[in-house]
Order: sequence, then C-alpha cells, then structure tokens
Amino acid sequence: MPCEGIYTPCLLPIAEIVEETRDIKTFRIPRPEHFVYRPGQFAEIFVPGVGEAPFSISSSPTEGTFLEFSIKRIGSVTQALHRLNPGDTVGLRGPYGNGFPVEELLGKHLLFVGGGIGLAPLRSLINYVLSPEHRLSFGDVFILYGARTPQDLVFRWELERWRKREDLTLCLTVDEGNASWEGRVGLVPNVLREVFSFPCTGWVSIVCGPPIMIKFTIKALRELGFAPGDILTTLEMKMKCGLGKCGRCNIGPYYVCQDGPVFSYETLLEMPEEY
Amino acid sequence: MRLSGNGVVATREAFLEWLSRGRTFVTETVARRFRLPFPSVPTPKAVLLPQHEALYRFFWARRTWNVHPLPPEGTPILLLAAPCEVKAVTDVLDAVFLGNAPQDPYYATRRKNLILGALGCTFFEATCFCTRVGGHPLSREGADFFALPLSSGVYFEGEGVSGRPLASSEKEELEALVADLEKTAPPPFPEKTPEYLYEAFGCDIWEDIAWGCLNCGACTFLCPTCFCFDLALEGRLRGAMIRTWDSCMFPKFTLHASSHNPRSHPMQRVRQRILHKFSYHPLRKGVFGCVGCGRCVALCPVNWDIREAVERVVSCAL
Repeated sequence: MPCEGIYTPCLLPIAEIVEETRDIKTFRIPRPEHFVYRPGQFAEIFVPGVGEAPFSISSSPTEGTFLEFSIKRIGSVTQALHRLNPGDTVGLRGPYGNGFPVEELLGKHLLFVGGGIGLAPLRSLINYVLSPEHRLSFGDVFILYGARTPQDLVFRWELERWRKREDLTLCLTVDEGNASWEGRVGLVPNVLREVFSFPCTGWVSIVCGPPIMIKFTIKALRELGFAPGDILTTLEMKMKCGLGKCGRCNIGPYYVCQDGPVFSYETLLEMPEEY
Repeated sequence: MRLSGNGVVATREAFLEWLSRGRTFVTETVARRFRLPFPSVPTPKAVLLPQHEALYRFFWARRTWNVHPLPPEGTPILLLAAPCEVKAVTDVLDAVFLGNAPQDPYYATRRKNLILGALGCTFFEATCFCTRVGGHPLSREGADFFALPLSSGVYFEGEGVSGRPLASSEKEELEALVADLEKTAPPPFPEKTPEYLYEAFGCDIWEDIAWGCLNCGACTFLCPTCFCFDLALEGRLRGAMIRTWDSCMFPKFTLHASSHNPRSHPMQRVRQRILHKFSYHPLRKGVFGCVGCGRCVALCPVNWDIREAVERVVSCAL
C-alpha cells in the first residue's frame, strides 16, 4: 500500500493481538522493509475513520520482520484500536524520534526501571541488549519493574522468559499485592533503594513510567550516586506530525518528537521545570 | 542602508504592468498602505501553509481500506509583502518546513512557485517593531525583488522591470528617508534577550503579564510566523486527513489522552507563546521567531501588547 509523502501512512494488517492486562493489548504488525528503527523510537498509528496517535515501539529491531506496539485503552484512537481484530487494517508512519543512545551504552551495566505501561519502550532496548548478537557488548543487566497490582503487569510471558535467564537480575514489585503474589510489595523508588545495593560506577539507568514515578525514581537514583548524565528517561507530550513541524511537543529549545523522546536527566535539568 | 542603491527608477505604470503579468497578490499590510489593483492575502503564510488543506484521502471500498496521498500542488504566484513578512518566510517558515529534515513536500512545492517581493516601508506605524527584532523597513534580504515608491516613480531592485538610473534628487529623497527611519526606529531588544527570557521562566511576573489576555488565539492566526498546525481526520468510511492552523493559546493544544495537560493554565500558554518566539526559536535557529510586524498588537481585541510583555520579562531577568 502507498507510503508516499511524509504524512501518508502505509496500510498493514494486524498479525496478532495479545491481551496483556484488562486495558493493555499488544498489537503485532508486519514490519515494512523501509521501516528501519532503533530501540526507543516511536511511530504514528492510524486507525481508518478514527484518527492517528503516536506509540512507542515495544519490539526490538533484532527480532526480525514484525513490529509490536503495547497500547493502553485511554483515548479515542486507543479505544478504536482495542476493538480491532487480527486481520484488520491499521496505518503506520515512522519511525520517529531519537531512540536510546545505544552506542553510548556499549560496555555499560544497565539498570532498567519501569512502571506500568512504561515497560513498553524499555522492552525494545532490553531485548536488543539481550539478543545473542549484542549481549556481549553490554555489562550486567538489572530490571526493576513495578505495576499497581499483579494483574497490571504487562508482558507476563516475557517476564517469565527474562526470569529464566542467568545473565540478568529481574525484580518485580506491585503497589498492592494479592493472595497469590510472591514478589515484592512497594513503590518502585523505595524498592529500588532496597534492591540496588552495589556501587553505581559503570552503571547507566534507563527509567520509564508515569511522570510521578519518574520523578521519585530519579530522586532515588541520585541518592544512590547516579550522575545526571547517567540517567536516561523518555518524555511524553501531545504530538501530531512526529516530524518537528506541527509545534505542539515543544519544550524549551527542543521538540520532543525529534530531539526526544529520550533525554538524559542532565538535559532535563536545563529545561524549564514545568512546561 | 540595507539597499544596494544600484536599483533603477521605473514609472508606476511600468511597475504595475510587470506585476500584472502573472497571478499577483499583495498582503493585507501592503494593501492597506498602497492602492494596488491586486487581491490581498493576510500574510505569506496563507499562501505557503493554507489555513485548511487535505493531505490524503481514505475510503472503504471492496472490503478493504484505501489511502490515497494528495500530491502537493503549486501554481506560480507573485506576492508583494512588507520586508518583515518576507523575513517571516525566510527566517521562520523556511527553517521549519524546509530546513528541518524531512522537508514538507506541500510547503516546498508552493515555496518553489512563489516569487516573493518586498515593498519597502516609508514609515513606522505605531504598532511596528521590526527593528526591535533584527529587521529593517527597507530590507531586501530574502526577497526576490525590492520596490519602494518614490515621489517620481518606483525604485526597483531585481530583475524584470527596466527603468532609468537614480537622479540626484531621488538619491537625496532615499537618503532622507533612510535618515528619517533611523531617527524613528524602535531600538532593538537586548542582545541576550533569548537567554534572559529562558532564565525568567519561573519569574512571578508571568501571572500579571498574562492577566489581560483572553487566550482567544487571534494573534496566532494573524501572525506571519506562527506555524503550529493540527492534523485531524474528517469522515468515517471515507474522508481525508486535514491539516489546519492550530494555536498554542488553546488548552486542547497540549491535552493528553490521559487528561493530563502540561499547559492547562492560561498563564502557561501565554508564557509558551512569548518564550517560543523570543527564546526557544532563537536558541534553536539563531533568529527571533517574531518579525515585529505588529499585527498581533494592532488587532488584539483587548490591546494586549507583546512588545511590552517582552520588555517586562527582560527587566524581570536583569
């Protein structure tokens, strides 16, 4: 289907839909050949007759011929997406944004801290790092992931896969447990202080989640000794074009869709506090 | 003097005849100042970035969805604008739609088809402030040609209109005009204005500055540099993706689907508009995002004055 012009989506059939939680689904669509992306980038997904919205890519470019988007039902486009079935058509534009600075992370130990649906962009980088062709280029991997309740944890089959690996540490926490929950109970920043007990030399932390969680996680990381330049996070802003033109994702001298969504905490400190 | 001084003097008739050979428009500002027999457009922005345009069509047919891109179209247009309005195109619109990869094909096609002429200004209106932001009423920078009415005819720099060299009386008239403009020119904002404003983000003064503003957005629609747009879908089983002008003055501009809004308060939106033009865009591109045309000042329903706002914030930061 046509992909001419910078605003026109190419139409693709949904290959598979996985129900992650009661309001999050993962959509798998075939990756068009021209769509070459890096972990941390995003794409605009078009639902015919409804609208278009930006979503981060939750699959890793090392995984081959498909793309995955993990999407929470929240607005008009996501509600329409959640009503679709495998075989239905969606449109795709992208990839957009800077993505994670993978080259700068080579040789580093990586601490991933995710909250809720914030694990989606992290999963792209985690699976990139864990892929056989890249695993030896990175140091230790530590994943701390938290959600509101055990039912709100996304990628449960993926978490199982990660848990079985011996080359990483996986720590799960929920704000509110239940009878069958055997993991930790507590807010992500507090659990982080408890479980991350080693010197942070050589470590880089990548944080993604709701704004309030990011704020307190960064505070905890600073206490643990992480320098602002060694903390990476992603910003959310309303977006339309994804091309640095429509103007709405402007924060300070940056456009989140082009200069972001990945920023180091060092850069965030120079930005206007609240935008 | 921004003029090379080696232009020619043509008769008004010869100049108008040359202009009449194609599809010619003038901006509202030019139309207000000079009686010219051409239709007007608000600013060059209206030609290069129409207020409303369809980018692609979509429809449901034969049990499948279809998308058809609408190719960019452009017919040759000649537009006579004030020097500040020419600057709005070269400093801001070109930088966003051409200078920032990927180029916007719709804008690029129309820009290629646009002959943009600057008609020099002979005086400052009360709302004019081009000299405060790096412009000049006689600047020909970025324009394909430059014209200036003199008492004896039209001074012309560029290709196309033939005339005679300047007579000494006309040279004197030009020099007198330049001297007069020098005397009445509003002084530039301080050189470090973008940095001062950036520092003043958390200043208390913003509430007071934004107090009178209605957040109606009229200024952003009148502005020759405001380029923000919305992409919205029209139709359900068949329709089009429409691009329309949008405004940072509207609360929905930054409203997330989650109902979180980083600029929910009117003050934050006024601050964004000022900082984007006088701090963020300059820090990014090296030029002000405002060209000092004064349309927002002249046409604001409550006489809210952006010059005064910038001055007050600068003084707050100093």
